[in-house]
Amino acid sequence: MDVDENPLKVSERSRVTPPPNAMVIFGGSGDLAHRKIVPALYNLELNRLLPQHFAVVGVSRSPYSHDEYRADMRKAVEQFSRTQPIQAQVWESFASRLYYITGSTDDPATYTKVGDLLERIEREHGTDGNRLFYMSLIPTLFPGAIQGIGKAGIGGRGYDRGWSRVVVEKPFGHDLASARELQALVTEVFPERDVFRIDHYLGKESVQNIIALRFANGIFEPVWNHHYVDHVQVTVAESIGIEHRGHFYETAGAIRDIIQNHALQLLSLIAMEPPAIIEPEEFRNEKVKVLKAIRRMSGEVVDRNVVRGQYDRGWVDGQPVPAYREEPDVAPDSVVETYVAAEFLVDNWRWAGTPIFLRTGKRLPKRATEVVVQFKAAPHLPFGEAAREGLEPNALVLRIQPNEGITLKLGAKVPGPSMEVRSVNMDFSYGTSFATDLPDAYERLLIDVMVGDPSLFPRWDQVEESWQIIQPILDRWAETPSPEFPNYEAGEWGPKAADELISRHSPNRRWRRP
Amino acid sequence: MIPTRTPGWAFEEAPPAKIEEVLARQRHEQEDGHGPLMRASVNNMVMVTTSRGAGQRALVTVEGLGARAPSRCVVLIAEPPSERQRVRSWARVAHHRHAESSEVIWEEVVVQTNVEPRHLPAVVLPFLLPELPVFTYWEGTPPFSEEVFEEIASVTDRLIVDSATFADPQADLARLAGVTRDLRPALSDCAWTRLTAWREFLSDPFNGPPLRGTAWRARRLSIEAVDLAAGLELTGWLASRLGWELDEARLVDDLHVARYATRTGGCEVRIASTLGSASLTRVELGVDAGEGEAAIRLEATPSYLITTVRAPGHPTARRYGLGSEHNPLAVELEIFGRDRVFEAALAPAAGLAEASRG
Repeated sequence: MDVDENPLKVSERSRVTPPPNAMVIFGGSGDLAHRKIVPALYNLELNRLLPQHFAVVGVSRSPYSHDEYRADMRKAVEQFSRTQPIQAQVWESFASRLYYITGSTDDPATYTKVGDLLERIEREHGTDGNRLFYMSLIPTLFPGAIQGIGKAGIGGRGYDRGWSRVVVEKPFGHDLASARELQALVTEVFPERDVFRIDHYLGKESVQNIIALRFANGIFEPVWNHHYVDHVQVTVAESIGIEHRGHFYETAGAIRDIIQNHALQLLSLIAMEPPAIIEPEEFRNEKVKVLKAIRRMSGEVVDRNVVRGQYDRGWVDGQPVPAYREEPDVAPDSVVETYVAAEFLVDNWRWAGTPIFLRTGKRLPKRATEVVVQFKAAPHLPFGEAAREGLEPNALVLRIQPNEGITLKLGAKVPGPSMEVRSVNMDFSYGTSFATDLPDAYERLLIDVMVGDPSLFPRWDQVEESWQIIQPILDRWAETPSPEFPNYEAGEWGPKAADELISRHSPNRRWRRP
Repeated sequence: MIPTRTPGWAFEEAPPAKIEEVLARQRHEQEDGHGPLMRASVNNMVMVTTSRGAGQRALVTVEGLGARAPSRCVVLIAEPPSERQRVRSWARVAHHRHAESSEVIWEEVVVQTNVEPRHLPAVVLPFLLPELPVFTYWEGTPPFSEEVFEEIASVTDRLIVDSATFADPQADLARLAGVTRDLRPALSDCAWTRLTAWREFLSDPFNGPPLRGTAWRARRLSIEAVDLAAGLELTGWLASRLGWELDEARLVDDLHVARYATRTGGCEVRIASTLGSASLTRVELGVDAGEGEAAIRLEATPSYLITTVRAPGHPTARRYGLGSEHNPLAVELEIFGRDRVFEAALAPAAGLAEASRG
């Protein structure tokens, strides 16, 4: 046994304890740090999942002292932690390892100050020189911060006093060219193995359950292909609007915000081949193969296969809501899409000819993320036409959120003297079967970064492939006039054209109503 | 007839063959009143008791599990056999609102019987949900050498005891370790589960400086134990992880004093009895840190576990954390498979218990 290995941790059943490390949050006083990162760290501490040798440094331009930052973060945790009320002593113990540096990412002095503080932290908290840099910044500031870290030698390739890793939030690039540019810049400082691109969807328990459903059950695999599956639907629906993110959304739109990352990640989980072993690189290799196999669109094919929409005024959750063009920081003649529906084809043996439909939208009737695997109808139904009126083909619905679970649509006999059949739903709800509090996705993902497990983080080739799929659509939209916007009312399931998209080759195909 | 505290239907008595009908009807009636009851079944739990009063306590325990209750719980009241042998059974559907939109449903069956022990599996088996793991919880000291223990163990996947409720913790821990070697089901001890936070906090400081690598050089261990079995098991855990061999042990009044040979010398161990609300109130582990002794001290307060690490030339570090799960039985229901760390700790814990008794 390695003399440095902790013999008291060997063979413990399930909990992974990360090694000592210090985490630096660039954008430490920002919205994400308040809402997600620091509450997640507090809950990890509460559940004894953080290492004893750990500290956090927030870095932002806001002028805070260490104590003021601690007080501000306490308020954030009180407001946003999934566990309430806050355990005062646990918080105090955590806060005693929370530090703050006032500085701008474009000022080299900031990195010197960060480096000095990290050295002090290493002496006082024994963090072993291991450093985790979290880029909780607007995308335009990533490059400067990463270069600053590299130039100061406080992390990245030249740093050898421990490991150093960087976490970057989506979006990774604005388009294919900018993503490549960003990747070149990031990997100039950090090798790819130390870059963790966070997509919080992949940290959700229900998304990981897709992996369990597919690869822990032998009954689905034989029918999980074009022989038996008519089509697949991936829906990421939101009832909220753009929530004061007008500036960002005007430069992004639904296709960059959701399709390029979350939706294509879900697609790859559904369509991937079983890996030989659930190990990070094996797993990510299989996912990227799916993305490579997605047929690229261009020119008029985009017009036929992709529908975009923008919401008008309407009613959502019983409240009147404004049109997208009436939202703050949105141009009154904006042509940015708040809805996208698209048909993709995966050109491989498993999925040849089976369309996979993705859709996402803002101000839809409800918040729902789900995947529907719609099976083909039974080859022959021996029942009379009237007897099978209520019968639809089998469908397996994987509900990601809310009410995580699985629904299987089956044909069943209607009780009574005649042989009538109709479809019924068999529901399985994770919440009522495994009734434990689910960790927030950020908690899971932060631990994964600390232990160095990249399985749930998109690798660069996945990101690049995603942009290669999306870029021709962006190009086509840039060169052709947008549809007549707005083209769907808030509170409806998107524009009519989306219904036509899914049913054009088969009148029996329709979007499932979540 | 049997009072309950959680929402759900009242217990109905029915012959064993009719119990499934009672449960099906109650499920159906609840659906009418409360919307659809959706639940995938996960596990069975059998709680073995020997009296109606203990059976009542067992039901309170199950209801206390709340959202983590097993899919079906069978409370077996196994009374001493008598001439007129009989089986009485009751059942009900219970539910617990877990989160905003999540309601957990489980089924409770109470079986009171005085049949011969060898027939107990035949009494219990029909009430179990098919093909799902069976967790058996045995309150108090299981009758290790009796037929009833063997028979119930034979239909169990995981046997859960609570050594804190053992009548004679030292002797019973030794007997538990004795049967473990030949026991088919996996074994859990709630007292061990209560030690989870203690073990984590005691081991964390060795992950980094200044204590990294010093666990092998433990010199003294001092434990104040409310639950003696927990103190023995914590010592057993350290002994098994660090390769300690017991040199000598004695019992002075309520104080266990022992000396272990370690890879780098020896370690003195003292386990003192005390009173408190946690299973342990204080643990201190002293190690040779080269420049002097370093020590990790854990103290339980009603709300927290406090870790203090002192090492020569380093500032004192203090950390507050929540203690282990208040309801260890709920934790045990989520564990499948054997706990090798516990099994390895049990033998030296029992060895210390036996050696102390002389």
